[in-house]
Amino acid sequence: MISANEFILFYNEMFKYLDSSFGKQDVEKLWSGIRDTYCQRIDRVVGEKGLKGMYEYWAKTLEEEGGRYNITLTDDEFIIDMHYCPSMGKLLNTHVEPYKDYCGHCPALYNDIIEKHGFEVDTYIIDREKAACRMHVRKRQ
Amino acid sequence: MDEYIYSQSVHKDFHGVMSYLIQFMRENHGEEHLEKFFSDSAAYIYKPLIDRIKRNGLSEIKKHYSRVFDMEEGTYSLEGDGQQEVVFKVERCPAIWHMKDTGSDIDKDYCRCSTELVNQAIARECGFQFSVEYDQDKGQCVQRFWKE
Repeated sequence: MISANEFILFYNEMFKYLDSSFGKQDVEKLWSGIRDTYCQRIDRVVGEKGLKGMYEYWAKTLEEEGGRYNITLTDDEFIIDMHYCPSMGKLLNTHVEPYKDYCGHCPALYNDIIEKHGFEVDTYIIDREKAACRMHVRKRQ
Repeated sequence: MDEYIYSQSVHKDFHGVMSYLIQFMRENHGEEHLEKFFSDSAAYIYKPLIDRIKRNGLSEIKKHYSRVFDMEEGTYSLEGDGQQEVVFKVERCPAIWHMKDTGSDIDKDYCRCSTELVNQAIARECGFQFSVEYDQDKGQCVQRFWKE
């Protein structure tokens, strides 16, 4: 069994393998496939509860995944300030080389799902080497 | 294996995504790439564990699997002297049962890739033999590492 804690290392290696063997578009195809299968719970809770659904989903997921972060929820915004991403953090603390666009998987998995429910998403990679980023969701005007 | 990742909390939903990675690779690129990916990646990712096995023998396999199965609350037994042979009997695989409990799809090649190909690669890198008999639907297997 590949343990849940080792998963990220295989995930990262698959991005590298697909990119070097078949090109970046194949990595994006994988991300789309994950979005359309394993991200359906996000689709459901955002569709039902909007910003509160995002808070509910990421509060639970990030509690399990770890890392250091702040989550902000207001009437018209949802913000994750990721001070140390648990996923990238695992790569930075092992011998493996992170995929060059590892951080690209997050917007690829989440942005379309969130935007189709009437929100705008901005993702900022603050410093990949420090595993720091920000996701800012606003209600579309 | 790098120690840091085992100091982190456990997010078992990743087992379901692993299942999807297996499905994606086989359906889009075929068996050859599926086997090559898991064999090559295991040799690279588990290099710290492989180095420890080379130094200290199969007792490192016992330590590794007892740690990850305890973290994920699997049911298992580990037998063997840790030098010539280790037999790892999994009664309840935490990955399979998490996917079952959460209604997640389980790819038909899940155990073959995540256990058989991975551990074959680790054993090969260390000069050991490996075999496994598994019942994926029950989440049970018997794995054996040994020195010829």
